Amino acid sequence: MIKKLLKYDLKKMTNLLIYLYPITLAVALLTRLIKLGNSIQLIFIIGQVFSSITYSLVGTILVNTFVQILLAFNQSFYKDQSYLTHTLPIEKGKLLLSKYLSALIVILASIIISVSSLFIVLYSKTLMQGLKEMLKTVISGFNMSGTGFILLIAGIIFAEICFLISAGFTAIVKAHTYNEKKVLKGLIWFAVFYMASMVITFIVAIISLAISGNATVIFAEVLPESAFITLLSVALVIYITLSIACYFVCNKLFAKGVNVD
Amino acid sequence: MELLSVKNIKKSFDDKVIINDISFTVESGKIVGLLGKNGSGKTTIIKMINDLLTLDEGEILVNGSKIGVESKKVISYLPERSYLEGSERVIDIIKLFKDFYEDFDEQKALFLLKDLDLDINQKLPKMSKGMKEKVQLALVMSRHAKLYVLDEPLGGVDPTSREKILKTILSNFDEGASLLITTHLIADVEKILDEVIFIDGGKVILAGEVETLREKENASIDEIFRRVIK
Repeated sequence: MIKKLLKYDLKKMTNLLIYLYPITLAVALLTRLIKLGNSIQLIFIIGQVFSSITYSLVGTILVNTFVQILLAFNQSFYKDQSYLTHTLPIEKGKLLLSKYLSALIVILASIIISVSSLFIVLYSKTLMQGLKEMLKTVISGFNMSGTGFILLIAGIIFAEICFLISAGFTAIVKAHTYNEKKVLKGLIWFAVFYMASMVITFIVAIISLAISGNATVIFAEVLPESAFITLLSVALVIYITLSIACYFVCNKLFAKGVNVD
Repeated sequence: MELLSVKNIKKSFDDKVIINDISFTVESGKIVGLLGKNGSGKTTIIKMINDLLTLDEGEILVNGSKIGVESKKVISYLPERSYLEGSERVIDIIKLFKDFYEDFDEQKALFLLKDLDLDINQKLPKMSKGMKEKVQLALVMSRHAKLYVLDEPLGGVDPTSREKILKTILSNFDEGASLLITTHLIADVEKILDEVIFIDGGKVILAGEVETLREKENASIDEIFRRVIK
């Protein structure tokens, strides 16, 4: 049943993105091709214009990923489409799980397309060399490989995006436990969840630094390398934990029943 | 056999009481009209039966089960508004019904859509409100359900099409199944009803068998409704 639900949820969440993905990749490739003739001034200018279009498209993908996921969630569970969604003979938990899994897949796809497009446009030996040098400098003090560091940063970004989506879903569900001003209440709850995550992150980070013997670094001007890695690891764990916690809160609220618009 | 049992249900929105202690039952094989003015609470009751609104108090049982997956397996629901959105075609919605409802009869849906002069390859955004309502009706009546719940099926339909819609409803629900129909167009439906429940101000004002009420009051259901609900 989850497979069937995923099929329909992915379709709804990607109804615009499905066109943006190939267009962005095509424009990125075109930009790359144009840049091959960089020595001619006019082609250089056209290349710059196409680069800007690619960056705009990447921005559009990222914004749309958030908007489409949250819109699809809201429409499917609380607007006109909810009259079909909630009358399907499927457990509420499965309906919700499908939305979460679809959101994860769409986020991952958007990140991959965005990074690939930027890579196609920006790739050059000089840039790669520069990035390698920068990475070497950054990780020189850490007991960590370059790949490990990149994976850690990528993991944090992905986990934070997942948390934002999870918090967004929970805020929508919570807002619909009220009868009035649901949009405003949804925004307020989202802000509450986000602020709470900041506070929790801060408290857990301080506790982690204290445990690792780095408590004094919060007053230091420059963060020592060991403390930096501790903070990054803590951030990753916290975002994953909060995303899962939001899912369970959302599931519990959702199981109590819905009041559609 | 009692197919739907609504016991002492209550629902308020903020301080406003919408449904105030309503109880009724629907027996197997009966066509029951839930009748009332606009805003009387009919749709709220229907939404509660279909898990679209929570109950403040009371209980609803469908075929002996509380509202949930089991009740949804036996209820075929036509809402008052359209859930046909997006850029899909009618055939895509048929596939969706086939995917999720075990009792969905695809051939019957294709037949009904053709009978209602609808093209299965037409895109939903290009369809009028009335056409979408007909599509939904065809889908709902293509399920072999035990209870059909139709919320204002004649609401957005022009008077000339009402006969056709009623004919489609009557000739396409399974023998032994029940029909709960809400409307404020009582004159149009009274000839098909076995029982009526009059709702006003969130309360049941009058309920009973159509024939008994007609004989007792010596008037049509439409006339009785006008007398009882002012």
